[in-house]
Amino acid sequence: MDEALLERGTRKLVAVNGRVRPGERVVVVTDDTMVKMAERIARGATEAQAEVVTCIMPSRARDGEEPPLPVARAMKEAQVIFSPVALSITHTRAMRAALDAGARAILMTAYTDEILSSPALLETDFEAQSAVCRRLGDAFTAGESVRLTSPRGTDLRFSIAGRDTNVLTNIPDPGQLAPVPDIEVNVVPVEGTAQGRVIADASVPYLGIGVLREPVVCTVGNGFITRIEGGDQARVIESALRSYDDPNCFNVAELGVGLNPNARLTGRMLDDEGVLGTIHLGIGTNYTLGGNIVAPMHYDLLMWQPTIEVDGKVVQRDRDILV
Amino acid sequence: MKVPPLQAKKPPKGQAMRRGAEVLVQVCAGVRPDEDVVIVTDQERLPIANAVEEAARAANARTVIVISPPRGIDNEEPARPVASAMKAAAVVFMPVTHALSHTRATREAIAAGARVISMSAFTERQMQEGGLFADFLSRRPLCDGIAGRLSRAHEVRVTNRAGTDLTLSVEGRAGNSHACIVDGPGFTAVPNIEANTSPVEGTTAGVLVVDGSIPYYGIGPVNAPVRFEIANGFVQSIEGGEQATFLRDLLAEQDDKWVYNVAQFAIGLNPVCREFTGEMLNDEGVNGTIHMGIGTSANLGGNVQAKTHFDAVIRDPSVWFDGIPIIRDGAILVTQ
Repeated sequence: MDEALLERGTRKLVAVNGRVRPGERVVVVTDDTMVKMAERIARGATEAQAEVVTCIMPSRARDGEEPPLPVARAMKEAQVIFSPVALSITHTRAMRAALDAGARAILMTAYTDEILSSPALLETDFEAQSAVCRRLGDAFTAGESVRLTSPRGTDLRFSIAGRDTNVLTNIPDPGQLAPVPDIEVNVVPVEGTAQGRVIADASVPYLGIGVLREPVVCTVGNGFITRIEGGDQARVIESALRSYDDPNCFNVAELGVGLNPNARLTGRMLDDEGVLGTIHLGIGTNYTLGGNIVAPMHYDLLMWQPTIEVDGKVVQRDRDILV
Repeated sequence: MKVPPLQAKKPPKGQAMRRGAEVLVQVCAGVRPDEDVVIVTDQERLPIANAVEEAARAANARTVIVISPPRGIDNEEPARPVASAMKAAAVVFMPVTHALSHTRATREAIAAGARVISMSAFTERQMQEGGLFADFLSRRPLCDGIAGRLSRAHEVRVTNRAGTDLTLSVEGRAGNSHACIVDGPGFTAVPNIEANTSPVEGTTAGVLVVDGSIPYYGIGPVNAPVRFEIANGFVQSIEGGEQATFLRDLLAEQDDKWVYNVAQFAIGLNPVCREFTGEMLNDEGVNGTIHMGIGTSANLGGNVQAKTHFDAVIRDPSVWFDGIPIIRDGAILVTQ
C-alpha cells in the first residue's frame, strides 16, 4: 500500500470532509481491531491542530450496538467525530445524541487502506457533488410519493409525505453525519406505505455477503418485507433477519441514492452505497434517519439502474440526475 | 525462508506487565463484572493501558481506553471528552504522562460515583516490580489509622536534619487514607500508600528543605537540596541548585499565584518503596518519608484550584501531631 496515498486520504478526510479547525475537539471512536486506522486519523487531526481524543472500545458483537456509556459521553462533547470501527455505530442513540449536541460525524465503518486511498475519496470533488446532492434532496423533500423501478423488474411505491431528506454531502454541517466517500441522499418511506417488489442485484455490504452472485427478490406489503427469495445469499439475509425475532427487522426503512461518480462496487458498505447508478433499500431501524421504528439492526440491499419518480416526475435514470 | 532463532526470549511486554495489571484490577480497584472501566492514557503509556485493559476485560468489565491529547503540565484539566468519559465510569485508571489526579475532572468523576486509580507517569518497571507488589491490605490499617489521627489533630510539625522546620494547621480538615485500595467512590494513587490532608489555607509557615525527590516536571531525585521558604500558607522563595532554578522559573511562567499554595501534607507508607527512583508514585510512597504538595488542594479537602500541583519529598523526617511524635528520623512510631 502506497503510504503517500494513505496520507493524502487522511488529510482529505480531516481537512475537506471533516473541515477540522485548530483547537476543535475531535473524538476518534474505534475498536481494538482498527486501532492503526484510528491512530492515523488522530495523527492527521493533531497535525491540523485539533485537540484529539481517541476512544478504543472492545469489538462490538454486531452492527448498531450501542457503544459503552463513557464513549457515548465523550462523543457528545465532540465537535468532530471520526468512527473507524469494524461494526457500525451509525444507527445508535449515542451517535444521535452527539449529532443533536452539534457534532459533525465522519463515519468510517469497516474502513480499510483501500478505501482510504481509493479514487472515490481522493479523486472526488466533494464540494461540487454537494450541489447535486442538495438538488436531489430538495426534490424528495418537496415530493409526496415515490416510485422506484428498474429494468430487472423492481417496482416499488411508497409515500414520503412530510418526510425530511437526509443529504449526505460528505461535508457535514453540525448535526450531520457523512459516511465518506459514500455520497448519498436518502429518504425514509412513511411507515406502512411501501408496496411492491425490489430486486437487489448489486450487493449487500453486510453479514459478510458483499457483491451479489444472484438477485435477491423482496416482496413488500404495508411497509414490511413479506418474502425474500433468491439463492444462498438471500437465505443468509432472511435467516439473519429472523434470528432477532422482531418484526421491525423487516421494516422498509430507507431509499438511498448513491452519488459518488468515482465509487466502485466492491461489496464494502462505504464503497458500494455511494456508487452513482445504484440505489439501496435500507431495512430495519429508521429511527436514526428520521423515522419512528427501532430495530436491533439496519442493513442495505443495493440494486443497479434505478429509475426514480417523485410525484410522477423522473428525477433519476441510471447515472443521470435529472433535477 | 527465514528461520526464527531458537533462543529464550523475554516475555512480550503485555505478558510481563500482566501480574501488575491484575493487582491493579483485582486488589486496588476490585473491578466487578459489567462495570464500565475507563482507562485514560496517552500514546506514550498505551502499552501499560493495554495491559490494564486486558486484565479488566478478563474480569468481565466493559472497558474503554481513552487516549488523551498531550497536556502541557501536570494536573492541567484534560480535554472535555475525556472528562465526560471519566464521569460515566465506575472505575477509572489513569496511566498518563502528566498527572490528572488534582483536576476537576477527577473530582467530578468521584462525585458521580467513580473509583479512581491514579497511575501518573507510570513506568513499565512499576508494572513489573516494586511498590505495586506490596501487601496493601495489611498496610491499610496503619494508613487508615494515621489518616484518622490527622482528622483529629489541630497542628502538625515536621523537621528533618537537612533543615526542614514547618508547622501547619489541620484543624477541621479530614485526613485521607490512600492505601491503594478503593472500595467505594474515591481516589487512590498507586503504589504510594499514603495518609494525607490539606493544611488550612494560610497557616503553613517555616522552611522545607527537600533532600529527597521532586518527581514532577522531569526533575526527580534532587542532586542538591531545594529550600522552600514558606509563610502564610504560600511558598515565598525557592533556592538551591539548577533544579531549584528550573522549578522557580516553571512556576513563575504559570502566572498564577495559587501554584504557590501549600496544598498537601502526606506521609509515605509503602514498605516496598525504599529508594527514590524519580518515578512519581514510587517516590511519594517511600516508607517513612513525607511530602508536601504545592498548588491545587481541592481534591484533598482544600479550596484551591491552581494551574498545577506538584509534590516534594523529604528524607528521614520527624513528625508530631499536636506534640505527639508520629515519625522520628524516618521511623514510624505508631502502629495504627
